[in-house]
Amino acid sequence: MRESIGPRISVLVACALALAACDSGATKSDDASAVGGSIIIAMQNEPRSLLPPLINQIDEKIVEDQIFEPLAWLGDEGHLDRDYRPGLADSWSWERDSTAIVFHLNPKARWQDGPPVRASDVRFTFGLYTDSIVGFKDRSSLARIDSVTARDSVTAVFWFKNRYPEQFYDAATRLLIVPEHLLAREPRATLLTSALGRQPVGSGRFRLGKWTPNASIELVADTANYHGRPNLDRVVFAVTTDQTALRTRLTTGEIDLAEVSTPAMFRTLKDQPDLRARMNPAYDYSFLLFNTRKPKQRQQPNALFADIGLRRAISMGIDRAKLVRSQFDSLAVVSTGPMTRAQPLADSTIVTIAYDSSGAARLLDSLGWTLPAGKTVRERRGQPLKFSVLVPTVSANRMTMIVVIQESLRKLGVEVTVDAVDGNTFVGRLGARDFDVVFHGMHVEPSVSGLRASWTVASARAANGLNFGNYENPRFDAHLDSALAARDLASARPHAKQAFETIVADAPAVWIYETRTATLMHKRIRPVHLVSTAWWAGLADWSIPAAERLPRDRVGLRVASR
Amino acid sequence: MRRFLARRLAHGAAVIFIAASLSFLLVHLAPGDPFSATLDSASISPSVKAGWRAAYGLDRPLLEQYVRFLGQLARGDLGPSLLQPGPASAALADAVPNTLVLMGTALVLTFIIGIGVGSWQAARVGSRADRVVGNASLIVASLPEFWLAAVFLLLFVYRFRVFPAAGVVDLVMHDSLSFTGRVIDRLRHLALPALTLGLLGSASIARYQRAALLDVLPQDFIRTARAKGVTDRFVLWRHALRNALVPTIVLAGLSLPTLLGGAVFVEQVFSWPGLGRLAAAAFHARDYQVVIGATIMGAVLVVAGGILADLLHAVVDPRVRAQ
Repeated sequence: MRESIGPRISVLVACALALAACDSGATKSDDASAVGGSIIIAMQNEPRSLLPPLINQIDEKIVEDQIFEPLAWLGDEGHLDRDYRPGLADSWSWERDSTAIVFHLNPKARWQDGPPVRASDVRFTFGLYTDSIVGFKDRSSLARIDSVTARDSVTAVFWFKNRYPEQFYDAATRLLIVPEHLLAREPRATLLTSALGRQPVGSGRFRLGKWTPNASIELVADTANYHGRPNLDRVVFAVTTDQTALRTRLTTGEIDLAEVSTPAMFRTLKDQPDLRARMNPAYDYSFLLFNTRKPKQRQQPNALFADIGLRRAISMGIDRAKLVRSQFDSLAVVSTGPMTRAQPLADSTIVTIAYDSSGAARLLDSLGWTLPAGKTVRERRGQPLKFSVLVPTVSANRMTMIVVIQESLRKLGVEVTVDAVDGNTFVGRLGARDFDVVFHGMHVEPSVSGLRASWTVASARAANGLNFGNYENPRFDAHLDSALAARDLASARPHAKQAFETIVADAPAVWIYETRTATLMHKRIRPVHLVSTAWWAGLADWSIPAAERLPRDRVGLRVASR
Repeated sequence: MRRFLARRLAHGAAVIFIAASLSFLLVHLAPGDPFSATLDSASISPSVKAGWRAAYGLDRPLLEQYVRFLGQLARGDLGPSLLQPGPASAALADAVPNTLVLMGTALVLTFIIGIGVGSWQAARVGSRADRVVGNASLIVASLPEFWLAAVFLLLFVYRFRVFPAAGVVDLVMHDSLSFTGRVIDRLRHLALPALTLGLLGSASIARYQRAALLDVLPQDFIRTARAKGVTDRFVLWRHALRNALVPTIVLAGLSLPTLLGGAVFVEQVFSWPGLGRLAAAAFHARDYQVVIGATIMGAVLVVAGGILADLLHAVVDPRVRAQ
């Protein structure tokens, strides 16, 4: 029975999606009144390069998703195991043993410079993403794909090392397919500065129109695209780093859409008559990470934080609910572990360490950390209970919150000093594991496979591992492995829950907050396919009704000069 | 004059060389490098970053990198930008014209407003109006650029919607406008950043100009002019101001470095894609070549400002010319 479920469901899904694709293809560009308009989107940071394997920040991803395509897009509901719509592939099927997925590329698919998209491009893309010299930051997430082969010019086959629930997600959505004929000759070690990064050629429904350095990136509709031309004539990404300018530009209509993460700005703008707000699910969480080993000396246990009791006591001493509410209002919630609630395998029923300052004091007493008469800092055998917290100055939120945390722990008899450093120093010391405690933040994907890189024994012991706090518990690893090896999400869930319960009980960190962002957009815009993980995924199908267009929506398509 | 100019140019070249070398040294000694600059890059393994460093020669000894840098500089090549495709000089070439337009306009505004206000105050020295304007100019001169820029944004964009908030041109409409429309579009976008810089600079100029005029007004030739029946206004604008302009004009050259410093903040607030904004982003990302290039551009402006001040001084003051 178990053998047959995956392929059967997949075939049904593939058929349904193929039908849906035919249907949507027929309606997309036929409605002439929907065609036209320009949207200006605020961008916090200018991309370095628009080559997909080099992606480093969300702004790059938003632009690249318009120019390039994956084999399939995650559907509107964001269910990793069943909800996809066609991208470059118009259908797909599973091999009988579920260790291979066959993608049938749309035979009409073409690169924006003319040549057809071939299965060999898919194979080349996989090779590029997994080449260590290129530096794709989520390369470990592709580790379970063994290889990609081209069965014929329009059929690409992904071969997996083993079966697991997120096979399709990994193969279909993680790779934005790039043209082999342009990139094959580029030296991979210096791809970061390849000129193609500023002249990207993809198969998506928008192509690069004009890139004005430090100011804007204009994408224009690819009117000859095989999916049909986008409804919008153009999408302009305007680099706006200053928050006052962003607020003003949104209010005055200079910018149509922005992602907002500061409560003050959200409060000001959400009731603007021209704007509509949409809350996005959280995929970022921040935490106070304890180093269980001596800074820079992984062989020796940390004098303080090797002790799970002390870690738990500190967790109990911080009123996270109050802290998060006062800092973020409705734009964040208290974190429950190394996950966010938006992840399908996250479990909100997991019991976390609750705030209990008197309980924390009792626990510290029982551990021997007592408060000598007349002193304000606890001691054990003459050693004061004090440590420093590494904080990046570039994070205003963390810089503010650490002061409150410092005060909370002071009341408990724990002396905390704030070690505020700039971003470069922060990353360097994080990588060298040169800290007692660090106020760190992570971005996660819907999949929990990234936990392997950050919290397992192997990543703690690897020279270049990302388990910066040196947390080790084989029980957590075993549950996580079981969850990731399960055949579907339902059977993965109990293992994931046990993994999360294990790590939360071990308290390798104080889980502080998961932030949400709000997307504010002009009301004349009619968005579709607002995928929970990526509001921008369906941008090509967004429209602006003719009656509501502004003068800039009526400019029409003009030949953009590069 | 030629010898003087040659000497100043030689001094200037030395200053630029020292500035370039110092910025090379400081930016390389600062924590991190181009590949450890962002927090996100923590998820890229150190071995990959080591590969990048080797590919771009950042794993070589600092002295070797410095010698290579000097070789490139001698050929007029700053080397490749480490964080964006193309040479660093191309990134600077995109940004510098925008900054020059902004600084040039601000400089003109600085002197028109500053000289006008200073002269107006000098004409009514000691009056209540003089005291009010004097205090006001002191306050304006003390304001930080980013604060005044934010106030202008809230006032002229958010409240009265007179000017656009950011950028050099309208991102969508500009190319569709007529020639006149495009000029107006540019001027509208230039207005607030230039006014911010210009107003801040003019407050100091006004104080200098007032003081310079007060030095000139009691002199004999002014008294003679008045004795001959020339009107006060004519005396002020034709006789006194021409003589009082000498120190102020010299300030024009010396204002360039200050304006450039102010432009860093103003460009951020108004999303003006100029040198200051580029330099700030490059420093944040440790894009060594662009940071050094921006520093060299700053040094060039300082040197050029100094030479310009000397030349202007010689042009307006015959005594200096004679020397």
